[in-house]
Amino acid sequence: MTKHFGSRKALSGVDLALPEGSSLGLLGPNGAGKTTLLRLILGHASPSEGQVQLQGMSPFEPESRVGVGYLPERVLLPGRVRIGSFLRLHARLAGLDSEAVEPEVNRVTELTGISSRLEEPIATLSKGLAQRVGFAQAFLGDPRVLLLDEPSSGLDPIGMREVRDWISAARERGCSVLLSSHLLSEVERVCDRVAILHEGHVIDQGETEKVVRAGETLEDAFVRLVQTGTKNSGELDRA
Amino acid sequence: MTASVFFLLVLESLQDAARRRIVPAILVLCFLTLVSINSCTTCNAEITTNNLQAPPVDIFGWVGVSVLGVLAVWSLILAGMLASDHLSASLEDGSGLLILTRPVSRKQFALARLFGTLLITWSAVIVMMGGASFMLSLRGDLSLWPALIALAATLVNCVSIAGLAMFISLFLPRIVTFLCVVGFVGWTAIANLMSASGMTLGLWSDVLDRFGPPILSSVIIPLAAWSGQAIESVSVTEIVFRLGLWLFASLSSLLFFFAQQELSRFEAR
Repeated sequence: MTKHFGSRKALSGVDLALPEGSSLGLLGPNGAGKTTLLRLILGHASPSEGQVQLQGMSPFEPESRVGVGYLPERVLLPGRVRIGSFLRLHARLAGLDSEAVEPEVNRVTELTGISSRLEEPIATLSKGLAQRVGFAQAFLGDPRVLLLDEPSSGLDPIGMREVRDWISAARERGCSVLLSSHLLSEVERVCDRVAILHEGHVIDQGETEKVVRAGETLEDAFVRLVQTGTKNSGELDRA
Repeated sequence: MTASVFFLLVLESLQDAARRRIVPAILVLCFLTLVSINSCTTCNAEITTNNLQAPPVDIFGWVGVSVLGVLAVWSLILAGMLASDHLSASLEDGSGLLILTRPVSRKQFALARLFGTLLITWSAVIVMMGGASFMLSLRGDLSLWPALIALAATLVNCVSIAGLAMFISLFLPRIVTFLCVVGFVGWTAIANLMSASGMTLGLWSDVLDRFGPPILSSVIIPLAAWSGQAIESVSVTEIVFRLGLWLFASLSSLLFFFAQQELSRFEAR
Protein backbone atom coordinates (compact mmCIF):
# COMPACT_ATOMS: atom_id res chain seq x y z
CA MET A 1 0.00 0.00 0.00
CA THR A 2 1.26 3.46 -0.92
CA LYS A 3 0.13 6.91 0.15
CA HIS A 4 1.14 10.14 -1.60
CA PHE A 5 0.49 13.70 -0.46
CA GLY A 6 0.99 15.53 -3.72
CA SER A 7 4.48 14.60 -4.89
CA ARG A 8 5.56 13.47 -1.40
CA LYS A 9 5.37 9.77 -0.62
CA ALA A 10 4.21 9.37 2.98
CA LEU A 11 4.07 5.58 2.76
CA SER A 12 5.50 3.33 0.11
CA GLY A 13 5.04 -0.40 -0.43
CA VAL A 14 3.77 -0.99 3.11
CA ASP A 15 2.56 -4.56 3.65
CA LEU A 16 1.51 -5.21 7.23
CA ALA A 17 -1.00 -7.41 9.01
CA LEU A 18 -2.28 -7.54 12.57
CA PRO A 19 -3.54 -11.08 13.19
CA GLU A 20 -6.39 -11.49 15.68
CA GLY A 21 -5.19 -11.44 19.29
CA SER A 22 -1.67 -10.28 18.42
CA SER A 23 0.11 -7.02 19.24
CA LEU A 24 2.24 -5.09 16.81
CA GLY A 25 4.52 -2.23 17.79
CA LEU A 26 4.89 0.40 15.09
CA LEU A 27 8.23 2.15 15.48
CA GLY A 28 9.81 4.92 13.51
CA PRO A 29 11.32 8.38 13.76
CA ASN A 30 9.18 11.51 13.44
CA GLY A 31 7.62 11.77 9.99
CA ALA A 32 8.13 8.08 9.25
CA GLY A 33 4.44 7.67 8.42
CA LYS A 34 3.11 5.98 11.59
CA THR A 35 0.18 8.36 12.13
CA THR A 36 -0.65 8.35 8.41
CA LEU A 37 -0.86 4.57 8.56
CA LEU A 38 -3.30 4.72 11.48
CA ARG A 39 -5.43 7.29 9.63
CA LEU A 40 -5.56 4.97 6.63
CA ILE A 41 -6.59 2.06 8.86
CA LEU A 42 -9.45 4.17 10.27
CA GLY A 43 -10.63 5.32 6.85
CA HIS A 44 -9.78 8.98 7.49
CA ALA A 45 -7.64 8.92 4.37
CA SER A 46 -7.54 6.64 1.37
CA PRO A 47 -4.44 4.92 0.00
CA SER A 48 -3.05 6.14 -3.33
CA GLU A 49 -2.29 2.55 -4.32
CA GLY A 50 -3.18 -0.77 -2.77
CA GLN A 51 -5.75 -1.36 -0.10
CA VAL A 52 -6.34 -1.31 3.63
CA GLN A 53 -8.68 -3.66 5.46
CA LEU A 54 -9.96 -3.37 9.00
CA GLN A 55 -11.50 -6.55 10.40
CA GLY A 56 -11.73 -7.88 6.84
CA MET A 57 -13.64 -4.87 5.51
CA SER A 58 -12.86 -1.59 3.84
CA PRO A 59 -12.30 1.00 6.58
CA PHE A 60 -14.81 3.22 4.75
CA GLU A 61 -17.54 0.80 5.84
CA PRO A 62 -18.76 1.85 9.29
CA GLU A 63 -19.16 -1.83 10.30
CA SER A 64 -15.39 -2.27 10.05
CA ARG A 65 -15.04 0.02 13.08
CA VAL A 66 -17.35 -2.00 15.33
CA GLY A 67 -15.30 -3.07 18.36
CA VAL A 68 -12.39 -0.77 17.53
CA GLY A 69 -10.91 1.56 20.15
CA TYR A 70 -8.66 4.40 18.99
CA LEU A 71 -6.44 6.75 20.93
CA PRO A 72 -5.09 9.63 18.78
CA GLU A 73 -1.58 11.00 19.15
CA ARG A 74 -2.82 14.41 20.19
CA VAL A 75 -5.91 13.77 22.25
CA LEU A 76 -8.11 16.32 20.51
CA LEU A 77 -11.16 16.38 22.72
CA PRO A 78 -13.99 18.92 22.68
CA GLY A 79 -12.87 21.20 25.50
CA ARG A 80 -16.31 22.54 26.42
CA VAL A 81 -17.76 19.09 27.07
CA ARG A 82 -17.80 17.42 30.47
CA ILE A 83 -15.91 14.15 30.72
CA GLY A 84 -19.03 12.17 31.65
CA SER A 85 -21.10 13.47 28.71
CA PHE A 86 -18.25 12.83 26.32
CA LEU A 87 -17.80 9.23 27.48
CA ARG A 88 -21.56 8.52 27.52
CA LEU A 89 -21.86 9.69 23.90
CA HIS A 90 -18.95 7.51 22.82
CA ALA A 91 -20.29 4.54 24.77
CA ARG A 92 -23.55 4.80 22.81
CA LEU A 93 -21.68 5.24 19.53
CA ALA A 94 -19.59 2.19 20.40
CA GLY A 95 -22.83 0.24 20.30
CA LEU A 96 -23.76 -0.05 23.99
CA ASP A 97 -27.41 -0.09 25.04
CA SER A 98 -28.59 2.85 27.13
CA GLU A 99 -28.76 0.62 30.26
CA ALA A 100 -25.17 -0.52 29.77
CA VAL A 101 -23.73 2.97 29.34
CA GLU A 102 -23.39 4.05 32.99
CA PRO A 103 -21.78 0.80 34.23
CA GLU A 104 -19.34 0.89 31.30
CA VAL A 105 -18.45 4.55 31.85
CA ASN A 106 -17.88 3.76 35.54
CA ARG A 107 -15.69 0.79 34.59
CA VAL A 108 -13.41 2.69 32.22
CA THR A 109 -13.15 5.78 34.42
CA GLU A 110 -12.23 3.65 37.43
CA LEU A 111 -9.68 1.80 35.31
CA THR A 112 -8.09 5.04 34.12
CA GLY A 113 -8.36 6.82 37.48
CA ILE A 114 -10.72 9.62 36.45
CA SER A 115 -13.94 8.43 38.11
CA SER A 116 -14.06 11.45 40.45
CA ARG A 117 -13.77 13.91 37.56
CA LEU A 118 -16.81 13.06 35.44
CA GLU A 119 -18.38 16.51 35.88
CA GLU A 120 -15.26 18.45 34.92
CA PRO A 121 -15.02 20.08 31.48
CA ILE A 122 -12.28 18.51 29.38
CA ALA A 123 -10.73 21.95 28.75
CA THR A 124 -9.66 22.25 32.40
CA LEU A 125 -7.67 18.99 32.38
CA SER A 126 -3.90 18.69 32.25
CA LYS A 127 -2.34 16.90 29.28
CA GLY A 128 -1.86 13.75 31.31
CA LEU A 129 -5.47 13.70 32.48
CA ALA A 130 -6.73 14.40 28.97
CA GLN A 131 -4.68 11.40 27.87
CA ARG A 132 -6.48 9.30 30.50
CA VAL A 133 -9.83 10.50 29.15
CA GLY A 134 -8.63 9.50 25.69
CA PHE A 135 -7.76 6.07 27.03
CA ALA A 136 -11.11 5.75 28.77
CA GLN A 137 -12.95 6.41 25.48
CA ALA A 138 -10.70 3.96 23.64
CA PHE A 139 -11.49 1.22 26.18
CA LEU A 140 -15.28 1.74 26.00
CA GLY A 141 -17.19 -1.37 25.01
CA ASP A 142 -14.21 -3.67 25.59
CA PRO A 143 -12.83 -3.36 22.04
CA ARG A 144 -11.52 -6.28 19.99
CA VAL A 145 -8.97 -4.03 18.27
CA LEU A 146 -7.01 -1.22 19.93
CA LEU A 147 -5.21 1.35 17.80
CA LEU A 148 -2.98 3.45 20.01
CA ASP A 149 -0.96 6.39 18.71
CA GLU A 150 1.75 7.43 21.19
CA PRO A 151 -0.32 6.34 24.19
CA SER A 152 2.19 7.41 26.85
CA SER A 153 2.45 10.95 25.53
CA GLY A 154 2.04 13.42 28.39
CA LEU A 155 2.04 10.79 31.13
CA ASP A 156 4.38 10.63 34.11
CA PRO A 157 6.37 7.43 34.82
CA ILE A 158 3.59 6.04 37.02
CA GLY A 159 1.05 6.79 34.30
CA MET A 160 3.29 5.10 31.72
CA ARG A 161 3.45 1.97 33.84
CA GLU A 162 -0.34 2.02 34.19
CA VAL A 163 -0.66 2.30 30.42
CA ARG A 164 1.46 -0.79 29.96
CA ASP A 165 -0.70 -2.63 32.50
CA TRP A 166 -3.91 -1.56 30.70
CA ILE A 167 -2.58 -2.68 27.33
CA SER A 168 -1.33 -5.97 28.77
CA ALA A 169 -4.74 -6.58 30.39
CA ALA A 170 -6.47 -5.87 27.05
CA ARG A 171 -4.12 -8.32 25.34
CA GLU A 172 -4.91 -10.99 27.91
CA ARG A 173 -8.60 -10.58 27.02
CA GLY A 174 -7.69 -11.40 23.41
CA CYS A 175 -7.66 -7.84 22.09
CA SER A 176 -5.47 -7.12 19.05
CA VAL A 177 -3.24 -4.11 19.68
CA LEU A 178 -1.48 -1.84 17.20
CA LEU A 179 0.80 0.42 19.19
CA SER A 180 2.59 3.32 17.55
CA SER A 181 5.24 4.68 19.89
CA HIS A 182 8.60 6.37 20.23
CA LEU A 183 9.15 4.55 23.51
CA LEU A 184 11.03 1.44 22.53
CA SER A 185 10.96 -0.01 26.04
CA GLU A 186 7.17 0.27 26.05
CA VAL A 187 6.89 -1.54 22.73
CA GLU A 188 9.39 -4.18 23.83
CA ARG A 189 7.37 -4.96 26.96
CA VAL A 190 3.91 -4.91 25.42
CA CYS A 191 4.23 -6.16 21.84
CA ASP A 192 5.17 -9.54 20.50
CA ARG A 193 5.90 -8.19 17.01
CA VAL A 194 7.39 -4.94 15.75
CA ALA A 195 7.46 -3.10 12.44
CA ILE A 196 9.98 -0.34 11.86
CA LEU A 197 8.97 2.46 9.53
CA HIS A 198 11.49 4.83 8.02
CA GLU A 199 10.69 7.50 5.41
CA GLY A 200 7.45 5.69 4.55
CA HIS A 201 9.02 2.24 4.10
CA VAL A 202 8.79 -0.75 6.41
CA ILE A 203 12.48 -1.47 6.84
CA ASP A 204 11.93 -4.45 9.09
CA GLN A 205 9.15 -6.35 10.75
CA GLY A 206 8.66 -9.57 12.61
CA GLU A 207 8.80 -11.03 16.08
CA THR A 208 10.76 -8.77 18.40
CA GLU A 209 13.40 -11.43 19.09
CA LYS A 210 14.02 -11.86 15.35
CA VAL A 211 14.38 -8.14 14.66
CA VAL A 212 16.84 -7.74 17.53
CA ARG A 213 20.23 -9.39 16.93
CA ALA A 214 22.11 -11.24 19.65
CA GLY A 215 23.56 -8.81 22.19
CA GLU A 216 21.37 -5.94 20.95
CA THR A 217 18.50 -4.15 22.65
CA LEU A 218 15.49 -3.08 20.59
CA GLU A 219 16.90 0.46 20.74
CA ASP A 220 20.19 -0.74 19.22
CA ALA A 221 18.30 -2.58 16.47
CA PHE A 222 16.09 0.45 15.80
CA VAL A 223 19.08 2.83 15.53
CA ARG A 224 20.98 0.38 13.31
CA LEU A 225 18.03 -0.11 10.96
CA VAL A 226 17.10 3.57 10.75
CA GLN A 227 20.69 4.70 10.24
CA THR A 228 21.33 2.20 7.48
CA GLY A 229 17.86 3.02 6.14
CA THR A 230 17.66 -0.21 4.18
CA LYS A 231 15.34 -3.15 4.42
CA ASN A 232 16.61 -5.91 6.66
CA SER A 233 15.59 -8.35 3.95
CA GLY A 234 17.10 -11.40 5.61
CA GLU A 235 14.76 -11.06 8.57
CA LEU A 236 11.81 -9.39 6.93
CA ASP A 237 8.83 -11.43 7.90
CA ARG A 238 5.70 -10.35 6.11
CA ALA A 239 2.72 -11.59 8.06
CA MET B 1 -26.66 2.59 12.52
CA THR B 2 -29.94 2.87 14.39
CA ALA B 3 -32.20 5.90 14.43
CA SER B 4 -31.41 6.37 18.12
CA VAL B 5 -27.70 6.81 17.34
CA PHE B 6 -28.56 9.34 14.62
CA PHE B 7 -30.72 11.14 17.17
CA LEU B 8 -27.75 11.12 19.57
CA LEU B 9 -25.55 12.72 16.93
CA VAL B 10 -28.17 15.38 16.20
CA LEU B 11 -28.47 16.05 19.93
CA GLU B 12 -24.68 16.32 20.18
CA SER B 13 -24.73 18.74 17.26
CA LEU B 14 -27.36 20.88 19.01
CA GLN B 15 -25.45 20.83 22.30
CA ASP B 16 -22.29 21.78 20.43
CA ALA B 17 -24.06 24.80 18.94
CA ALA B 18 -25.43 25.75 22.36
CA ARG B 19 -21.97 25.50 23.92
CA ARG B 20 -20.71 27.94 21.30
CA ARG B 21 -23.29 30.43 22.59
CA ILE B 22 -25.01 30.59 19.22
CA VAL B 23 -28.39 29.54 20.58
CA PRO B 24 -28.62 32.28 23.27
CA ALA B 25 -27.59 34.88 20.66
CA ILE B 26 -30.33 33.66 18.31
CA LEU B 27 -32.91 33.68 21.12
CA VAL B 28 -32.08 37.33 21.83
CA LEU B 29 -32.31 38.10 18.12
CA CYS B 30 -35.73 36.44 17.83
CA PHE B 31 -36.98 38.34 20.86
CA LEU B 32 -35.76 41.69 19.51
CA THR B 33 -37.30 40.96 16.09
CA LEU B 34 -40.69 40.17 17.58
CA VAL B 35 -40.58 43.23 19.85
CA SER B 36 -39.79 45.53 16.93
CA ILE B 37 -42.50 43.98 14.71
CA ASN B 38 -44.99 44.22 17.55
CA SER B 39 -44.07 47.86 18.00
CA CYS B 40 -44.40 48.61 14.27
CA THR B 41 -47.76 46.88 13.86
CA THR B 42 -49.46 48.42 16.88
CA CYS B 43 -49.10 51.98 15.59
CA ASN B 44 -52.14 53.44 13.85
CA ALA B 45 -50.94 54.16 10.32
CA GLU B 46 -52.84 56.64 8.21
CA ILE B 47 -51.83 57.48 4.66
CA THR B 48 -53.84 60.05 2.80
CA THR B 49 -53.45 60.63 -0.93
CA ASN B 50 -55.53 63.29 -2.77
CA ASN B 51 -57.68 63.57 0.37
CA LEU B 52 -58.43 59.81 0.23
CA GLN B 53 -57.30 57.72 3.17
CA ALA B 54 -55.68 54.42 2.13
CA PRO B 55 -57.36 51.38 3.70
CA PRO B 56 -55.23 49.76 6.49
CA VAL B 57 -55.21 46.44 4.60
CA ASP B 58 -53.20 48.06 1.77
CA ILE B 59 -50.61 49.41 4.17
CA PHE B 60 -50.32 46.18 6.15
CA GLY B 61 -50.14 44.13 2.95
CA TRP B 62 -47.09 45.95 1.61
CA VAL B 63 -45.51 46.18 5.05
CA GLY B 64 -46.10 42.44 5.43
CA VAL B 65 -44.39 41.58 2.14
CA SER B 66 -41.42 43.79 3.04
CA VAL B 67 -41.09 42.46 6.59
CA LEU B 68 -41.38 38.79 5.62
CA GLY B 69 -39.02 39.31 2.68
CA VAL B 70 -36.37 40.82 4.94
CA LEU B 71 -36.88 38.08 7.54
CA ALA B 72 -36.60 35.38 4.85
CA VAL B 73 -33.27 36.76 3.64
CA TRP B 74 -32.04 37.14 7.21
CA SER B 75 -33.12 33.54 7.99
CA LEU B 76 -31.09 32.22 5.07
CA ILE B 77 -28.03 34.21 6.12
CA LEU B 78 -28.49 32.75 9.61
CA ALA B 79 -28.69 29.23 8.13
CA GLY B 80 -25.50 29.87 6.16
CA MET B 81 -23.74 31.40 9.17
CA LEU B 82 -24.51 28.43 11.43
CA ALA B 83 -23.67 25.84 8.80
CA SER B 84 -20.47 27.52 7.64
CA ASP B 85 -18.48 26.03 10.51
CA HIS B 86 -20.69 23.46 12.21
CA LEU B 87 -19.20 20.53 10.31
CA SER B 88 -15.66 21.76 9.69
CA ALA B 89 -15.15 23.08 13.25
CA SER B 90 -16.03 19.71 14.74
CA LEU B 91 -13.44 18.10 12.49
CA GLU B 92 -10.84 20.73 13.32
CA ASP B 93 -11.30 20.46 17.10
CA GLY B 94 -10.97 16.68 16.85
CA SER B 95 -14.39 15.76 18.28
CA GLY B 96 -15.79 14.91 14.84
CA LEU B 97 -12.75 12.88 13.87
CA LEU B 98 -13.04 10.86 17.06
CA ILE B 99 -16.75 10.22 16.38
CA LEU B 100 -15.80 8.99 12.92
CA THR B 101 -13.55 6.32 14.49
CA ARG B 102 -16.84 4.77 15.71
CA PRO B 103 -19.21 2.79 13.49
CA VAL B 104 -20.69 6.01 12.10
CA SER B 105 -20.69 6.70 8.37
CA ARG B 106 -19.60 10.06 7.05
CA LYS B 107 -23.03 10.60 5.48
CA GLN B 108 -24.76 10.03 8.80
CA PHE B 109 -22.34 12.35 10.58
CA ALA B 110 -22.71 15.14 8.00
CA LEU B 111 -26.50 14.81 7.98
CA ALA B 112 -26.60 14.90 11.78
CA ARG B 113 -24.47 18.06 11.85
CA LEU B 114 -26.71 19.63 9.17
CA PHE B 115 -29.88 18.61 10.94
CA GLY B 116 -28.59 20.04 14.23
CA THR B 117 -27.96 23.34 12.46
CA LEU B 118 -31.37 23.24 10.82
CA LEU B 119 -33.23 22.61 14.06
CA ILE B 120 -31.81 25.85 15.43
CA THR B 121 -32.41 27.78 12.20
CA TRP B 122 -35.91 26.42 11.67
CA SER B 123 -36.87 27.29 15.26
CA ALA B 124 -35.62 30.85 14.74
CA VAL B 125 -37.43 31.14 11.38
CA ILE B 126 -40.69 29.82 12.79
CA VAL B 127 -40.53 32.21 15.74
CA MET B 128 -39.52 35.27 13.67
CA MET B 129 -41.51 34.76 10.45
CA GLY B 130 -44.37 32.91 12.15
CA GLY B 131 -44.66 35.57 14.86
CA ALA B 132 -44.48 38.41 12.33
CA SER B 133 -47.06 36.71 10.07
CA PHE B 134 -49.42 36.18 12.96
CA MET B 135 -49.19 39.81 14.13
CA LEU B 136 -49.55 41.22 10.61
CA SER B 137 -52.44 38.91 9.85
CA LEU B 138 -54.22 39.73 13.10
CA ARG B 139 -53.71 43.50 13.04
CA GLY B 140 -53.97 44.02 9.29
CA ASP B 141 -56.91 41.65 8.80
CA LEU B 142 -54.94 39.61 6.29
CA SER B 143 -55.21 35.89 5.49
CA LEU B 144 -52.55 33.83 7.27
CA TRP B 145 -52.22 31.20 4.50
CA PRO B 146 -49.98 33.17 2.09
CA ALA B 147 -47.57 33.87 4.94
CA LEU B 148 -47.52 30.20 5.94
CA ILE B 149 -46.66 29.20 2.36
CA ALA B 150 -43.85 31.79 2.31
CA LEU B 151 -42.64 30.44 5.66
CA ALA B 152 -42.64 26.84 4.36
CA ALA B 153 -40.68 27.88 1.27
CA THR B 154 -38.12 29.66 3.47
CA LEU B 155 -37.72 26.53 5.62
CA VAL B 156 -36.91 24.55 2.45
CA ASN B 157 -34.51 27.26 1.27
CA CYS B 158 -32.78 27.08 4.68
CA VAL B 159 -31.90 23.42 3.99
CA SER B 160 -30.46 24.32 0.58
CA ILE B 161 -28.41 27.25 1.86
CA ALA B 162 -27.18 25.40 4.98
CA GLY B 163 -26.22 22.39 2.85
CA LEU B 164 -24.44 24.67 0.40
CA ALA B 165 -22.56 26.45 3.21
CA MET B 166 -21.45 23.13 4.73
CA PHE B 167 -20.34 21.95 1.30
CA ILE B 168 -18.26 25.13 0.72
CA SER B 169 -16.81 24.86 4.26
CA LEU B 170 -15.17 21.56 3.25
CA PHE B 171 -12.86 23.56 0.97
CA LEU B 172 -12.71 27.12 2.30
CA PRO B 173 -12.13 28.73 5.72
CA ARG B 174 -15.12 29.69 7.82
CA ILE B 175 -15.11 33.44 7.17
CA VAL B 176 -14.70 33.01 3.40
CA THR B 177 -17.52 30.47 3.39
CA PHE B 178 -19.76 32.85 5.29
CA LEU B 179 -18.96 35.76 2.95
CA CYS B 180 -19.67 33.55 -0.09
CA VAL B 181 -23.05 32.60 1.38
CA VAL B 182 -23.96 36.20 2.25
CA GLY B 183 -22.96 37.34 -1.24
CA PHE B 184 -24.88 34.55 -2.94
CA VAL B 185 -28.04 34.98 -0.84
CA GLY B 186 -27.93 38.78 -1.09
CA TRP B 187 -27.32 38.89 -4.83
CA THR B 188 -30.00 36.28 -5.57
CA ALA B 189 -32.52 38.07 -3.35
CA ILE B 190 -31.87 41.40 -5.08
CA ALA B 191 -32.18 39.72 -8.50
CA ASN B 192 -35.50 38.13 -7.44
CA LEU B 193 -36.77 41.50 -6.17
CA MET B 194 -35.74 43.41 -9.30
CA SER B 195 -37.28 40.74 -11.52
CA ALA B 196 -40.55 40.82 -9.56
CA SER B 197 -40.58 44.62 -9.95
CA GLY B 198 -40.28 44.26 -13.72
CA MET B 199 -36.77 45.71 -13.92
CA THR B 200 -34.25 44.62 -16.54
CA LEU B 201 -31.46 42.48 -15.12
CA GLY B 202 -27.83 42.12 -16.14
CA LEU B 203 -26.56 38.77 -17.37
CA TRP B 204 -25.42 37.27 -14.01
CA SER B 205 -28.34 38.65 -12.06
CA ASP B 206 -30.66 37.19 -14.70
CA VAL B 207 -28.93 33.80 -14.40
CA LEU B 208 -29.29 33.89 -10.60
CA ASP B 209 -32.93 34.95 -10.85
CA ARG B 210 -33.82 32.21 -13.33
CA PHE B 211 -31.69 29.34 -12.07
CA GLY B 212 -30.69 30.20 -8.49
CA PRO B 213 -32.67 29.20 -5.40
CA PRO B 214 -35.95 31.18 -5.33
CA ILE B 215 -35.01 33.10 -2.18
CA LEU B 216 -37.40 36.03 -2.47
CA SER B 217 -39.50 34.77 -5.40
CA SER B 218 -40.85 32.00 -3.16
CA VAL B 219 -41.88 34.63 -0.58
CA ILE B 220 -43.18 37.37 -2.88
CA ILE B 221 -45.37 35.12 -5.04
CA PRO B 222 -47.53 33.63 -2.26
CA LEU B 223 -47.71 37.06 -0.61
CA ALA B 224 -49.15 38.58 -3.80
CA ALA B 225 -52.48 38.06 -2.05
CA TRP B 226 -51.32 40.56 0.59
CA SER B 227 -49.76 43.14 -1.72
CA GLY B 228 -52.46 42.82 -4.38
CA GLN B 229 -49.76 42.77 -7.08
CA ALA B 230 -49.60 39.55 -9.09
CA ILE B 231 -46.12 38.44 -10.20
CA GLU B 232 -46.28 37.07 -13.73
CA SER B 233 -42.56 36.75 -14.51
CA VAL B 234 -42.29 33.33 -12.88
CA SER B 235 -44.69 30.42 -12.40
CA VAL B 236 -45.50 28.62 -9.17
CA THR B 237 -44.53 25.28 -10.76
CA GLU B 238 -41.10 26.64 -11.65
CA ILE B 239 -40.59 27.93 -8.11
CA VAL B 240 -41.51 24.56 -6.60
CA PHE B 241 -39.21 22.78 -9.09
CA ARG B 242 -36.28 25.06 -8.27
CA LEU B 243 -36.85 24.66 -4.52
CA GLY B 244 -36.61 20.89 -4.95
CA LEU B 245 -33.68 21.04 -7.34
CA TRP B 246 -31.56 23.23 -5.05
CA LEU B 247 -32.46 21.08 -2.05
CA PHE B 248 -31.31 17.96 -3.88
CA ALA B 249 -28.21 19.59 -5.37
CA SER B 250 -26.91 21.06 -2.10
CA LEU B 251 -27.50 17.90 -0.04
CA SER B 252 -26.08 15.52 -2.63
CA SER B 253 -23.00 17.75 -3.15
CA LEU B 254 -22.36 17.89 0.58
CA LEU B 255 -22.73 14.14 1.10
CA PHE B 256 -20.80 13.13 -2.01
CA PHE B 257 -17.82 15.44 -1.48
CA PHE B 258 -17.64 14.82 2.27
CA ALA B 259 -17.42 11.08 1.56
CA GLN B 260 -14.41 11.76 -0.71
CA GLN B 261 -12.53 14.07 1.69
CA GLU B 262 -9.19 13.27 3.28
CA LEU B 263 -10.25 13.97 6.85
CA SER B 264 -6.69 14.18 8.11
CA ARG B 265 -6.28 17.55 6.38
CA PHE B 266 -8.77 19.14 8.79
CA GLU B 267 -6.40 18.51 11.70
CA ALA B 268 -3.87 20.84 10.13
CA ARG B 269 -6.30 23.71 9.49
